[in-house]
Parts: sequence; structure tokens; C-alpha cells
Amino acid sequence: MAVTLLHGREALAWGAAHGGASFFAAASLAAAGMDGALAEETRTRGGAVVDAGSAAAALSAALDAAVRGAVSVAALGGGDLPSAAPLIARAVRERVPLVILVEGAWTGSAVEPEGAAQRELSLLRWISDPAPALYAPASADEAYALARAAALAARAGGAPVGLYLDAALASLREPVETAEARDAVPSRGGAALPAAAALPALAALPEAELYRTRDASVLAVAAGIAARAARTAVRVARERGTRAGLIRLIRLWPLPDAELAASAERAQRVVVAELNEGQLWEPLAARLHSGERRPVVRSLAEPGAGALPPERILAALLDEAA
Amino acid sequence: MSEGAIERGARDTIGRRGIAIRLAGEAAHGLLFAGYVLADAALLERRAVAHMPTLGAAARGDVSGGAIRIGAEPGEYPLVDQADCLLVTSVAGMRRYGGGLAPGGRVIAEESLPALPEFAIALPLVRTAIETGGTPLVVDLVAAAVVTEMTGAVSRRALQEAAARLLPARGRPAGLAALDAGIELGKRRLRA
Repeated sequence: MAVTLLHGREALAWGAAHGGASFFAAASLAAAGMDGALAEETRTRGGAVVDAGSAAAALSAALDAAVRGAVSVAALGGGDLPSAAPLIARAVRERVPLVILVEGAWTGSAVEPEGAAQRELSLLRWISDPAPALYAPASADEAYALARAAALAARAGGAPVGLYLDAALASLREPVETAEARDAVPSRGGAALPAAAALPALAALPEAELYRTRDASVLAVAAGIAARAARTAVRVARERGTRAGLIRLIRLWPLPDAELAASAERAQRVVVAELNEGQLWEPLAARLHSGERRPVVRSLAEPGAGALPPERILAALLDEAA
Repeated sequence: MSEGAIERGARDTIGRRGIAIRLAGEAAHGLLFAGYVLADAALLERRAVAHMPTLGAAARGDVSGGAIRIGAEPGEYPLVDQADCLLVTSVAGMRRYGGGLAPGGRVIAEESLPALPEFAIALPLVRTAIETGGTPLVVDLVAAAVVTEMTGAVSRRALQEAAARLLPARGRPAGLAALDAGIELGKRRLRA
């Protein structure tokens, strides 16, 4: 294994490649981190990389390739979702094994981006019924692992899988432990694929990460970059004597029911840390209120906020615990 | 506080683990590259590192550079919202990021910038680049070296190795000379 610094979006693309993806399409390959070495390597292996010019065209091409048996990946920006929605719904309806990478949009202007947002979560949930399985990695390393597992799942057939990175994590460079070339998947060129058992299957990966939840009286629930802030807040809350914990959602849709139910059994208060208008709060509150115990569920959503620093989550945890 | 004024640790902040560095200057100063060198040096030392370069939409503004957090707790907040060390080589960089310093954070600034705050450390970054590398274009390496020397975020050896790896062969002699000069500049400032 080699460790290298990758942008989150690059980690998604390379993870999918090393999981066996042989077809990549994006409105802009460069913007999706699919140009350069990844494009070259994919083509060398007999795969294809398509600069489609629009999200709908990229998704259409990827969908077609998946139907023809390729392990296929489409990369979309958050702003592209409305135009891509009908095709995603079709992929879900027809159970096309497609890997869909979605990068969240920045807040602020193009010239002065102010921060990340997680505004696409509702749309991704309601795009079809049932919603496509959607995962939200919180680091480049996790993005790589999940994309690799998603491509492996696509190799085995089944429904489409979405991977969502908010803009901050997509742009952030972090160390990623990548598979060496010989462990990667030269699928169509004739070289052997690794045994499926050698790669972690999506179903085997955790749906949520529990951090200090065992005795927590107040819980933060978050995903993506907000979860990284929440983890810092929980550590500091503990240092200040508050029994705080964190449920980090790795799989957003469907929600990880077992982890939520178990933690909600013990906690009286839940703080949903999210960078949108309450899109996580609504399904979480519904789920947490479906049992006998009904914890108070509060959202830190703030329309237009470009950042959710640990300080704000800490203040909410301390406030709820008081 | 007026917009862009430099303030140290005025917000109600909680301690972040690791060291947070922000580099901000004009695109021509190459601080974008300095961020890559520092991040790669941290990786060479197997330190936890998160690097946010000003690319994409952010690169369209009037400030170029990046932010690096080194040695943070795995899984915790990786973004730099309060810098422990802010290095600026342009007025726009100072205006944009001057208000976001961690408690006790320090500002290292190009000495020719006007109206520097009293606690800023003014250093001849551009002059050092010209004198050692023969061009102001290597101010990025002077900056990376000064930050290394004054923060201890990475070792000199890792910095030199990272720079040697990332610099194209043609620019390597001037770049490495600028790096050495930056280390000396940082040392002198520390002694003072």
C-alpha cells in the first residue's frame, strides 16, 4: 500500500478505479479529478473516460455503459442534480449498478467562496422511491475506501450507489492509503481481477461511526465535514465534564436504524449538526421519535451559513446538557 | 473590529490539536506551491495533514495560497479557521485573513507591506528570494522555509526532501538555495 495526498474528489475517483471501474464520465473531467493519471490508466486498461460537457450527458453515458456491463462511474456537481434527477431515478428503478459521485456546492460566490454546504441531501433522498443508497465519507481516505467498495458492489450487480462529498472535503487534500497498482483492477485489458474477497464489500463497511456514545446523555449526529467539527466539539465537551457523544452517519440513506435506535435509548438530547436548512434533522427526528423513548432533537441548521465550527456545536452540546 | 484588522484570539475559541498554517499572497508569489511543499513534507514525516489549496472557485479571487493543518487528531476538524501562523505577502491576503488568528497566533509578513500591525513579524521575504535565487519567483520557498523554522511544524530535512521532489529539475538549484536562505532568515529572526 502507498500513502499519498489526494483531494477528496480524487480519492473518490481513484477508489472507484481500484475497485474495478472501467468507465468514467463527468461534465468536466478536470473538475471531477478524473483527468491526468486516472484517465491515462483507465484507457491503458481498456476502459473509457468521457468528458461529457454536461451532467445529464455524463450520467446518460455512464448509465448506458453500466447497462452494457461496465463498472461505470458518473461524477456530478451539486448544482447538476436537478437535470440529472430523472436519470438517477431511472437507474434506481431499473437497478442499474452505477456508482454516482456527487460533490456538494460551495456557499458564497464563485470568486469568494465562503464555505461548504450540504444542501443536496434532501434532493438525493427524494430523487426516487426508494432513494439510492447514499454514503457520505468524512475524509479522503474514507472516500477512497467507500468508492472502492461501491465499485466492487457494482461489479457484483445490484442497485446504484451514491457517494456524497461536501465541497470542503472534496477540495481538501488528505493522506490516502491507496492500493498498489498490482492490487488495482485492470479489468478489461485481460489481466486478472483481484478476488472479490480481497476487497471490502460495501455491506461489510460500517454505516455509522460511534464516538463516545456508550454513556452519552447528549448526542451530536452529523455527516461529512460537520461530523469532523462535531468530533472536536465532543472531545472538548468531555474534557469539560459533559457526557457527550457523536453518531457520524456514514450511510445517509437509508439511515442506519440500528445505531440510531441503540444510541437514542440512552441519550435524552440530540443535536443535529448540519450545513443546510434542516434536511438531516427532519428524517432523523422522525426516526428517533418512532420508538418509546423520544429524545429532544435540535438542529443547528442555519440557512446561508458557510461553516459550522466546533465552537458552535460545543455550545449547543453544553447548552443541551445543562 | 474593522474588516481585515488583525486580531489575536479574540473569539471564544476551543483548542484545536496540531498546528494551523495559512499562506496568502498574490498568485505570482507562488504561495500555492509553498503549501504543497509543506503538506508533502508533513506526509513524508507521517504526520496527520490536511491541506486546502486555493484552487477552483477560490483561485478566482485576489488571494492565492492555502491552508495546512499538521498534527491534528485523526477524524477531527481539519479546516483552518484560525491560523496559528499566518504568512502574508500581499495587502489583499492580510485584509482577507487578518481577522482569523488563533490565540497566540503569529503573523509573518513581507516587510514592504504597508500598515502592518505591531505584533506582525516583518521579514524581507521578496528581497531574500531575489538575493539568493536571482528571482522573486522563489519567494514561495523562502516563505515555506521561514514558516518551517518559526513553527517547527515539519523538520528542515523533510522540507528539503519535499521541495526537491516537487521542484522541476530546471528550477531546483534556485529553489533549494531560496529554501536554505529562508531557513537562515527564520533562524536569525528567532535569535532576535
